[in-house]
Amino acid sequence: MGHGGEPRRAQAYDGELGAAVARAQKGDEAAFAVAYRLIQPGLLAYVRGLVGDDAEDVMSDAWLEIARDLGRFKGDGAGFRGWTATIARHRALDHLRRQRVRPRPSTLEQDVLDLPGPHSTYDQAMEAMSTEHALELVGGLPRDQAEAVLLRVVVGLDGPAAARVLGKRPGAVRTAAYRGLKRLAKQLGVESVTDEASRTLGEST
Amino acid sequence: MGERQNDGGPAGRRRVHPERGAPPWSGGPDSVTGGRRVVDAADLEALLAAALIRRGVDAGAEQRAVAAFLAAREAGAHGARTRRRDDWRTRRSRFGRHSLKATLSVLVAGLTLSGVAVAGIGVTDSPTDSPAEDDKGTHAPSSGATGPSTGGPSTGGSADPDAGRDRPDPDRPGTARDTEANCRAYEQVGERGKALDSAAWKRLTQAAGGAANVDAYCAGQLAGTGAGAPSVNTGAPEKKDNNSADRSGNGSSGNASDNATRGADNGSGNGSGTAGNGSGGSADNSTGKPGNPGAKHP
Repeated sequence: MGHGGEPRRAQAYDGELGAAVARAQKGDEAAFAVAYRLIQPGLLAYVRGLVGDDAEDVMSDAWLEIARDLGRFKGDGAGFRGWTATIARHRALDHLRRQRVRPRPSTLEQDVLDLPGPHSTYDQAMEAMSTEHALELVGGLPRDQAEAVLLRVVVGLDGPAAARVLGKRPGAVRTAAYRGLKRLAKQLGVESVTDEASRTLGEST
Repeated sequence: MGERQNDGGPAGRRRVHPERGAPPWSGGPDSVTGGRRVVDAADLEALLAAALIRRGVDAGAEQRAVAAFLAAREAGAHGARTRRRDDWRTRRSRFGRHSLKATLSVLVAGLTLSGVAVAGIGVTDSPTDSPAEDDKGTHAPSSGATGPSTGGPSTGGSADPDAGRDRPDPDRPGTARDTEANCRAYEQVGERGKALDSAAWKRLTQAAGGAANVDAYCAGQLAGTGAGAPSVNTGAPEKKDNNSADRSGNGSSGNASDNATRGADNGSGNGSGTAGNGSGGSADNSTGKPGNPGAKHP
């Protein structure tokens, strides 16, 4: 299970999602509700990483646009995730522009410093892994890394799709996701397979 | 640290471990707390996803989304055209990758073809230029011929002013020469396609009043210039006369009087000079001497 692989979470329901979207495009509102339930949690988590507590409002706006433009969409379930993520991102960026606030409060960095450090045990880190904790961790990343990680992890986009959402090259997005995950692993005090530096940690005793 | 060494170290693998099944995080973080402390990237992603994604959706929000869907359906908004950003078909990405290659190859092909086209223009233009030079060349000998022939016969003298009158005229000889050159180029190039596309060809076609008339037009033009180019004609009779003088001089050595009359008529000292080899020198000298001064001082 390498770094460049398709996020496995995403593949589980792509077929179902694609079918629901196709039926919704023909006018089936029940199928639209199915697609909503399949996709909303991941999108909401992504938008929460961008705008914080306003994520529900932003996603409400995004769904109005998704519902309106559904007929324009062409693609399968994976494509629908990318398309909706693009819309959600635009709404989130609009929201941030209106608010003139940064996507993360600057106090997040301070919070990250208060997190259990590398010397705490993995068990402690896992037990402490609440949603807020994870959000703070991701929020402590540089913006491009945080977005790349979120699109990959919670929306389930592969590299090219995430790159299209972000309007960047796939290589840059892949690198950003890799660095972000590496940094998160280090902050969690766990050893990542891709983290050479942590090997010394494991062999130190 | 020691725990980690005991758990994950001896295996020598920082990667995970087959016995931990495919969805290690599906049951939440608790399911792994008793397991290995070494995670790979996929596990970390699953951990983050489990922590970040709240299962379940807000029913009110879903209702609002569905209501918006119904409103859009009633308004007919779902028949809207697909924009580029709405097309997420996977074929598209492949097409995009191909289109980069296709764009490059089209660019290269375009450059190559444009080079060929420029070369083709050069081909059609060069015959246009070379006959013009030939044209000048025909004029140049005539002016050169005027030098020797100025002293000569009255016909040569009368012909040269004609040629001289032709050339100073600024406009007409230029266009005439162009047309003539184009006609020659047309004869040379023939029916080759690129030549017919050139600007010169278009001009010629316009002048002829249609592509079908070009042959006739060119025939007329070339004939006209052939008659109108006196230098060529005036130069040739001189040489013919000289040759006839030579021949006559060589052939009939005894006919000195005939030579003399011809030499006097022509007034060409050269012809009589060469003829002098064959026939008697007295007659030649007598005619040649008046001829030569006459040639130098008309």
